[in-house]
Formats: sequence, structure tokens, C-alpha cells
Amino acid sequence: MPLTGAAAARLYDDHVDAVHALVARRVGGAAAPAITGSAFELALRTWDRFDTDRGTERLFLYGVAIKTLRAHQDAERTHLQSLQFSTDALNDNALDPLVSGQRSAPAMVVEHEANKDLRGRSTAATDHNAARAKTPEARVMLAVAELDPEDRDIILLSLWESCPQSSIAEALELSVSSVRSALGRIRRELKTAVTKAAS
Amino acid sequence: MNVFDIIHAARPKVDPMPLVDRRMIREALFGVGHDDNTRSFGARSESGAVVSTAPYGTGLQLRRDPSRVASISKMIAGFTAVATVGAVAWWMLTGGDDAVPEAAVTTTPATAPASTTPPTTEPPFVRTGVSRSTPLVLPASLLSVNGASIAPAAYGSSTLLLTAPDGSTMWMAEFDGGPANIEGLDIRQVGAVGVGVMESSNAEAVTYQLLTPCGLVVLNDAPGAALYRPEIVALFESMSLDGSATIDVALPAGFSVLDIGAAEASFDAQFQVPVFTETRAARLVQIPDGSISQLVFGGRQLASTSFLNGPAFIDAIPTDPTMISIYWQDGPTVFSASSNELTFEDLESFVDSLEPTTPDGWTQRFDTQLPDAVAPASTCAPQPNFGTTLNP
Repeated sequence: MPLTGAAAARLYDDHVDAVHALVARRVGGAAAPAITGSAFELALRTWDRFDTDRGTERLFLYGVAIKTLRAHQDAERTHLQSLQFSTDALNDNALDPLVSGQRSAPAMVVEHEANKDLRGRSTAATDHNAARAKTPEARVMLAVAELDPEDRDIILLSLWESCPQSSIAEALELSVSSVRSALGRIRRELKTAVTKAAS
Repeated sequence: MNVFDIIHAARPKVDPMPLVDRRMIREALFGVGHDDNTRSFGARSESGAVVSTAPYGTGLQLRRDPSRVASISKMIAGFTAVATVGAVAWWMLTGGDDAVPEAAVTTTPATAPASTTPPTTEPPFVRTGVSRSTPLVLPASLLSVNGASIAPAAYGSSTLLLTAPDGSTMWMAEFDGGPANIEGLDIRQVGAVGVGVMESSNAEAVTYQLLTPCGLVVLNDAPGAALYRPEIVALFESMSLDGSATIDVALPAGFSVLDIGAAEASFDAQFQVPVFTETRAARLVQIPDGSISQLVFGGRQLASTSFLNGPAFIDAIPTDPTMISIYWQDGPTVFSASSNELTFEDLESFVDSLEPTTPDGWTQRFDTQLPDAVAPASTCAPQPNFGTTLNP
């Protein structure tokens, strides 16, 4: 049964800020409200899946928000990769070169007179990102953006939302041991990816 | 290099969810028809329309409820009725110089002011951007208005809000005027003051009148409170009235002053707030240098609330259960926003969208004039006033 009425409104009022913050950290402030709204709609519709004996409302909502974010993975990758370049005017989303499968390649811009400006900016932005990606911090975030979605959820719930392993397990419907082993594996993978990128 | 430390350090600092987004999502989810399954929030959110172009409120079509329209009319009628009663009292006082009191007015010798609980009003929390130079607010865009007016300050009038030990709110006011009219009063001596119960009082809220040589001093108890309940007796017993008709109160234990202030001109407008394809009425009253006690003329039962992330009061027992009335102070100005057609969040969004302006800006918008304070028509003396124990 969906959650409705005053109880649903109370749930929204109690948790919307936390859910929005999680979403905003993952995709940026502009897209966050709409995704937060979608997450709450889904959460209320599937409320019968929430087991009060097993977990908390907040973590259930985190789990639903993360499921909702899966539909916005391109936006999330773009945002995560741009974190190191967020103050740069070139990164104003005029282009979306990070189409799946082309993220490390220069942006594809159709040869046309009308795209002349875009092509110029595309090259400039790509060059700039390439230069910035030489820093260790940028390489780490690029590697995070390339992680398997579930691994990315685990690492960001842990480091950005300060969730203990048991909470991560609850939100993502995993076992605690799976989370524990995943964190170790992710750390190794990230170090490997960053080292490889540096060389 | 610890990659986890780097990721943790890269944690973005995010701004709080914009109030308008928060409210609009809430309305889309719960605002109208909890069982409406036809909406697809996700479909709209992909386009960004929900967060970028939509005006206040839900996109759903609302059925116009005639009773709500009638209710807001009743609200206006209610305010009008209160104002009418006040006007009648005013006329009786100011026009009654030839009336002779039938009973001697009981006053007490001047007494030293007793200590009292300091006002409990929170320090001003400016959320509307008003300032001393721009003490009023107006919508940034032109909205339809049902009416706009400026009520002049009543000369020599002050109002007071007290919180009783049981949490109820008592409203007290003093008005200058002619010799006090005590005809028909059931007068009783309580401590040092003479008190009568006004005949117009009904069972819901008792109105007491303090006996003063001139003018009118009334105290409205909370609705439903018993006549001469112990708290009100204790309050009267703590009052003194000196030869200058100055009322001082050594507040009994448990009482506190919620707000007090002299009457000031109030700027009153009822706007038609756009909510998608329709508009909803909201009333906004602003009183620069005014007091909450003037905003709640006649008295309201107030409860603390948070409005636009700042301290405010809400009418806890509205006459119309669908009416939401919020009172707060920003800088030099006190505000009242009320509506029975907007939700609390709608009211917040509406107020949040207002922009500061000057009194001239306000009068120009509505083509009105700033009125002068109403001067007393009576030469009766002494006129009542609140002493320093209440208004230091």
C-alpha cells in the first residue's frame, strides 16, 4: 500500500532536506530538486517495502533516492568529473561531451557552420580538463565517476553521507559483510586506476 | 596517497533545498488529492519545468470551493466587525464629553513601578529584507488585489499581549477618549483597580474594562476562560492605576509580556496570489514600528512557529479552522500573513518572494495616501497609558 495523507507529508517534511542533499552532492543543485521529487514519489508508492523492524525511514529513502539516481548516471558522472573544475567558466554545461562511452574522448560535435562556436569551446574544455586531470585529486574523482554504480553508491554513502557499514547495507539491501569487502576492493581499484592514469 | 581522504575532501557543500522547490514538490505529492495517481512527477521533472518555470503551487486543477471563498469573506467581515466595535467604542468615547460617569472612578495613589518580566519577543530576524528606510514589502510583480488600505494610527492608543501561566494569550489595549463610559458594567473592585465586564462579551471570550477617568482600557481573556478565573484576578490584583491614569503591573508569577506597542499606521492588502492557472487570496498586513499586539487586534491565541526559518507566531485557535494566520517581526516592522486558500508553505513562498519598499512605494502601487494619526476629539484628562513596568 502506498503511504498517503498526513503520514506521507510528515515523512517528506522530516527527510526531504537530507535526501535532497544526498542527491545534490551526486548530480548538482540544478537537477537535485526534480530527482528528489521523483525519489519521494517512488518511495511513497513502494512504501510497503519498508520494514520498520529492519531499518530506518531515512535509510529506506536513501536507498530509493540512489535507485532513482541510477536513471541519471550520465548526469552524475558529469557532475563528479566536474567537481575539480567547478569554478571554471568553461564547464558551464553548454556542451554535454560525457555521453556514455565517449567520456575520455573529445566531444563529438557535428561538422556544421552553426556548431562553430561549440567546436571551439569543446576543444578548449577538453584540453583544460585534460590538464587538470593531471592532479591526483582530479584523477581520483574521475576514477570514482567510472566506478560500477553500486560501488560508487557504497563509497559515497560511506564518505559523503557518513553512513556506517550497517547503514550502507540497509540502504542498498546488501549484507554488512558485502559492504565491508566492497570497501576494501574499491579502495584497491581506485588506487590502481589513479596510478594507471598518472603513468 | 589515501584515495578515501581525497574523496572525502571532495565532498561538495550543497545549499539547502530552495524553499520554492521544496514547497512545489510537496504540493505535487500531497497538495491536492492524496489518491490522485494520474500525476507523473518524474515526467515533468525531466524537463525541468517543475523547478524552473512553474509559479507557486501545484499544477493540478483545483476545484473552487465556494465555502473557502465565503470563509475569506467571513475573515474580512470578522476584521470589519472588530473594527466596527472599536469604532463604536471610539465614537462613544470621543463624542461623549457630556456624558457623566454614574459611578466614581476608582484610582489608587501613585505607586512605585514594580519589576516585571522582560518582553519575551525574540530579537528581530529579518527574512523579508526590510530595513528602517524600506520598512514595507510588496510583490515584485503586479498582482491583482482585492483591496488595499492604510489604517491610521489611533492617537494615544497602545496594545499589549500577555501570556498567562496556562499558555493562553490575553490582549489588553488602552484608547484615549472622552470620559469613560461605565454604563451597564457589573463593576467589581479587584485589588487596586475597578473592573467591569463588558455587556457585549459573549461566552467565548470575556472582555473586562478597567475603570479609568477617560478613554477605554479593555482586557480580552482567552476564549473559553471562566469569568474572573484565578489568573485574571491575580493579574488585576497586580495592577495599579495612578493619578495620571498610568497602568503599571507587577506581573504575577507565570505571566510574561509577549509584545507591547503604541498604535501605528498599518498597511493592509489582500493579494490574489497566482497558483498555476488560478489565484488564491492572501492578506498581508504590515505595521512599521508596530507590535504583534496591534496586529492581533482583539486578541488571538498564539503559538510559536517557524516561518521562513525565523521565529513567528501562528494563530493556534483560528475562528475559521481553515485560516492560517502567521505573525512575525522583521527589523522595524511587524507582519501578518493570512489565508484560507494557501497552504503554510504557499504563504512562506509568497512572503519569500516579496521585495522591500518604502511607504511611498506602497502608496504609489495602490494609489493611496498616507493618513495622519487620528487626533483625540476629547479634552478629558488624564488619558490612560501603560507605565514603564510594561513598556520600559
